[in-house]
Parts: sequence; C-alpha cells; structure tokens
Amino acid sequence: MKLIDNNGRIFGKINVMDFFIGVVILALILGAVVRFATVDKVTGANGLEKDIVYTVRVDRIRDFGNIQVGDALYDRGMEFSVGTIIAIDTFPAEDKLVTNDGEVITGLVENRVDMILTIEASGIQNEKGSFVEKVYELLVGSNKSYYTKYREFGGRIHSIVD
Amino acid sequence: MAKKDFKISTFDIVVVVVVLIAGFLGYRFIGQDIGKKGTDTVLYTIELTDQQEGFSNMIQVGDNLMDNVKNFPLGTIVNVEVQPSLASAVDINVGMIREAVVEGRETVLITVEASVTHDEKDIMINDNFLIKSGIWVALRGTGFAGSGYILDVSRLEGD
Repeated sequence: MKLIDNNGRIFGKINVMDFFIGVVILALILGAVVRFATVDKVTGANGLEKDIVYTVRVDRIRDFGNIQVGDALYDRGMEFSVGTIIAIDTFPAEDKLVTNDGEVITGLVENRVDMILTIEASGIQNEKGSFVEKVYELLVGSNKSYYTKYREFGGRIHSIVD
Repeated sequence: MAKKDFKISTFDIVVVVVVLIAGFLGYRFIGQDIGKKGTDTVLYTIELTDQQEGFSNMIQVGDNLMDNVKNFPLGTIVNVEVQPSLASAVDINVGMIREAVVEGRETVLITVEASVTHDEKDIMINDNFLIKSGIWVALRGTGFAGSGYILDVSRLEGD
C-alpha cells in the first residue's frame, strides 16, 4: 500500500492537508498546555485566588510624592502588575555611621525617608509560598526593581501581612 | 470536470474554532495593551546637580532639549530654577548624615513640557523615551549638556 494514494490521502484514509492541520492544532494545544498549565507545577502555585497583602521597604528615598495610594506597582521584567499600593508609611531615614572611636552607631539621614508600602494583590497562598499571578513568588528579603507609572525605585519585600 | 460539492467537514469546524481561540488568547495576552494608549502633555523636572556656578545662565526657557545618547527629543524648557548645590556629609558630632551646601556650585532644576503617549504602566515621549521620576537622563540643549535624575512628573488627569 502506498503511503499517499492518488487522491492525496495517507494510507487512503486521511487527507494530507487535514493531517498537517491536525499536527499544527496538536502543536498549538501542546504549547498552550506548556505555557498555562505547567506553570503551576514549576512554582507550586496551586489553590484558590485570594487577596494577599504584603509590604515593601524602600530605604533612604528623597522624593516620594509621586508614589501614591492607588498606584499599580510593577516589577522590572514582569509584564503584569504585582499589586496596588494601599498604604504608605514613612519614617526618618537611618544609616550606619562609624564614630572616631570605631564604634558603629545608627544615625539619621537628613532629607531622606525610609518608606513602607503596603501592597494588595490577587494571588495564591499555600504551603509552598505566596504567588501573584502564579509566577511571581513573594520572597521576604528579596530585592526588587519596582516602578509605577510615575516613579522608578528599588525596594525589598519586607513582610507578608496576610 | 465535475464540480466538487461544498461541504464543511469536522476538521474545518475545528480549524475555525482554533483560530477563534488563538485570536481571543492573542487579544487577552498581547493585544489588550494596544489601543489603550492615550496622548497628553506632561511637565517633568530634571535635576542637574553639582554644576559650576552660572551654568544655569546657559539654559533658556523655550529651548528644546534632546537626549544626549540617542538624540530623542525631550520637549521644551518651560522653567529653570537654581538651588544651592548640596552634598551628603557625615556629621559625627551629632551622629547624622547632613546635606551641606557646596560653595561655588549650583543645582539646576529644569522643567520640561512634552507631548507624551501613555498607558497604565508607562509615559513615553514619541513612543520611545520613557519618563519617570528616578530615571537618569543625559541631555543637551543649545550650548549646554548635562545629566541628572528626573525628579518629578506631573500626574495626568484621572491618575
């Protein structure tokens, strides 16, 4: 039996074009499964979506007027928002200083503030951690390059409140 | 030659469904940002620190600013303000880091007006130059050049 007969059918059953279209469809389905389903296995981000509240600490920032409650927060490299700023608390900025005696003290930094941003995001929490949009894991202590529509700044995840 | 009957096979239906799903996913994950861009005018301020005294005299309101790396237009200068140049210095007697005035130097604040496009994440000049507070800019105008941080960007209506 010929592989492709005179009517263009493979083993006399499936049209060659239909076969190729089928292959393309299978590839698309496979691609979609890899893109959207295996993410959960990689990060362990399974479970029901809920609101996660976490805080971000920004040290010794000078002008923070352009960071406002209600602003969407983004992390460089992530296409999606990692949450919305729901509260901003500022404190006099501090830094380590070495005295003439070689003693290390904590001193204030003029014209700077330390800032705690409280962020609310929709995500998943389970025994493996907290995840925003399944792929963005909230790791306390990790340094991030954040930005909003109006401001770019560095910070680190300070705590996961809820 | 006999005309072929027009028949829709199961495969044709599957292909149409797949194309529709692909179109929906494409819009959902790629295209949703497209078309949401607005155009507006913003004022933003660039701070040039530690300049020699008198440097600000070179900067004229009405001049156009250019990015000094890729020659992107940055907008038109609408205000120039001079402030004392400050440097951080440890004052160990009181145990703090102070900002001390540096004699013979000045800080120049240049306010620029620019037409921008914007979406929910970014504000861009000519779709290619990102402006946000905290971004470092190398610039040049008529007879001067400098670099400094964008200090402030005016909020757009509704933000």
